[in-house]
Amino acid sequence: MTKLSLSNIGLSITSKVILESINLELNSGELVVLLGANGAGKSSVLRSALGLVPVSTGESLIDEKLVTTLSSANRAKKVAYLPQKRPLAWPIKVFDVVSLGRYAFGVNLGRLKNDDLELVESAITNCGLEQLRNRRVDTLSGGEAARVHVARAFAANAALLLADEPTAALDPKHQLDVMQLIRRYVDMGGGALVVGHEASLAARFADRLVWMRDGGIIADGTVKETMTAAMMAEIYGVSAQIGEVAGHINVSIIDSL
Amino acid sequence: MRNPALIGGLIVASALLMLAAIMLGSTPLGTRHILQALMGQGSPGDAIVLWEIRLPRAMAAYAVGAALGLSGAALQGLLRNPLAEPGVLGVSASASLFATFTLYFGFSAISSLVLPLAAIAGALVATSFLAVVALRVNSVIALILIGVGISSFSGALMTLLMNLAPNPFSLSDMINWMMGTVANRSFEDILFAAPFLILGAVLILSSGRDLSAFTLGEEAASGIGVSLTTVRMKIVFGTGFCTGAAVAIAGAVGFVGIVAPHLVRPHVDHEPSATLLPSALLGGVILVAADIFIRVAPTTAELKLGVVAALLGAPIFVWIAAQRMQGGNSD
Repeated sequence: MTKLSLSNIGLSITSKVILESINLELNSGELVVLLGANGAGKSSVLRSALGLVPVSTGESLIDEKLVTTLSSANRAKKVAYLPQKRPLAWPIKVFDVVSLGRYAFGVNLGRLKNDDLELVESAITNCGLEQLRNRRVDTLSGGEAARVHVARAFAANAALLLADEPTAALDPKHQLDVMQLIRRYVDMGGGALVVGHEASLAARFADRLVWMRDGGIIADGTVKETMTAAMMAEIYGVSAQIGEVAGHINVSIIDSL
Repeated sequence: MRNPALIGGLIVASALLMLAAIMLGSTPLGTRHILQALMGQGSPGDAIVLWEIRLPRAMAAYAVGAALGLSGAALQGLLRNPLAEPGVLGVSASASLFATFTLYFGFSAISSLVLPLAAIAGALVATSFLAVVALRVNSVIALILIGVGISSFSGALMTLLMNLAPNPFSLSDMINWMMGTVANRSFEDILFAAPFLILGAVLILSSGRDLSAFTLGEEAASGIGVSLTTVRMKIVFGTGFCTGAAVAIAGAVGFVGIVAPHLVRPHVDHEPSATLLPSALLGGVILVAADIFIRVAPTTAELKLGVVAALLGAPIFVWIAAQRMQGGNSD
C-alpha cells in the first residue's frame, strides 16, 4: 500500500500564483482523474507532487517521506511519471524506450539483467507492443507511440503512476486503449493520478474525480457525486447534459456559456 | 555491448592507421625499419624520425580526434541534437582564445602546464555558459546560435590579439592555434594534456546511461530517476576537459565531433550511450587519416589539420542540418 499525499501545496512562478492550498491524496488501488480547463494547474500538481518544481508552501509526501528528501532514483522506484510532452530525441527502438523505465534500478540499455528483462517484457506484452518491439520510434503512429510511453511507465513496476494527459491527441479507440491499460494497472494494485480532458472517459474509468480551477481544487469526490452539469459549467464554462449510454455515464457538451 | 563488431573494426582500423602514419612520410619507413626503431635498434636517423616526429604526431592526432569525437557525442546526447559539437558551440574557439592569450603575454613560457590549463579553462568557461543558457532556453536552435556567437566573439578577440601581436613569431604561433595542427608535437605535449583528457573521458563514459535517458526529454528523464544537475555537470566538465585537452595539443580542430557520432549512430541503433566509445575511436581514426593525407599530399606549404577537418566536416554539418529541416524536426 503506497500513498501519495499533498498538503497545502502552493506554487508561484515569478509572482504569478500557479497553485494554491492543494490538498490531495492518492492511494494504491484507486484511479483518480484530475479535470480542469487549460491553465488550471493540473500539470503543476503532478510536478509539485514529484518535487520537480520548488513549491512555495506545503509539502508532498510519498509513503510519509518528504519527496524532496528522496533521491531521484528512489522517488522513481515508487512513482512512475508520464509527462505531457513526450519528445524522443533519437530514433531508438521501442524495446529500448520501454527499458528506460528501469533506469532507476540501474539498467544499462542493451545489457538488461533477468529481473529487469522480465518486467520490460511484461510491460511490452501488457501494452500489446510485441510486434513493435524492434521498430524505431520514429516509424510509429501516434497511438502506437502513446502505448510505448505507457509501457515505459509500467516497466518501472512502481506502486503509483502520475500521467499527464496520456490520451491527448489520440483517436477514440486509442484513448480507450490507454485508459483501459491504466485501469488494469490499478485493478492489479497500482494507484494512478491521471490528468484528462475527456469528461465521459474520466467518468467511465475513474474511481474519484478531482476538479481544478485557477490553481485550486474545487471538488474531490466520486464520479456520481461530482460529475454534474453545474460542475461542468463551473469548471469549463459549458452547458452539459449528463446521461447514461450503454451502462456508462455520458457527458454531452451542449454549448459554451 | 550493442555492436562489438563495430568497436572491434574501429580498433583494428586505429592500429592499421597508426602503423601507416609512422610508415608514410617524406622518407617512407619499411616495417623492418619500424620494428628495429621500436626495439631501439637500427639507425639513429630512423629512431629519431619514429620517436621524435611520427609517433608523437600520430598519437597527438589520434588523441585529439578521440577527445573531440567523444565530446561531440556527449554534447549531442545532453542537448538532444546531432548538430551540437565543441566547434559549433564555440567551446574550441573559447579554448583557443585562452591558449592564444597565454602565448600573447608570454605566460606559456612560465611552465609547460600554463597553456593546457588555459585551454581547459577556456573550454570550461564556454561549456558552463552553455549549460546555464540551456536551462533557460528550450530551443536547441537558439542554443546553437548562442554557441555560434561565442565562437565568433572568441574569433574576434583572437583576431584582435593578432592585430596587436608584438612580433611575427607570436603571430605565427597564434595562427597555428587558430588553424589547428599536430605538426611538431612531442610526447611531452601529449603527456601534459593526458590527465585532463582521461578525466574528461571518465566523466563522459560514466554518464552513458544518463545520456540514453535524456532521449525521453529532460522532464521524463527526471521522472525515471535521472538527477539532471549531476548529469549536466558531468557532461559540462567532461567535454570541457576533453575539448580543452584537445585544443591544448592541436589548437582548434572543428567538425570531428559532428561527423564521427553521425557516422556511428545508425550502427548502434541510435542509442546515445552506445554512441560514445565508437565515436571516440572513429574521431581518432578520422584525424590520423586526415593527418596522413596532409603529410603525403604534394602541397608546397603543409596544410593544417584544422583546415582539412573543416573542409570535410562543414559540408557534412550543412547536410545534417538540411536533412533535419526536411524531416520537419526543426528544434
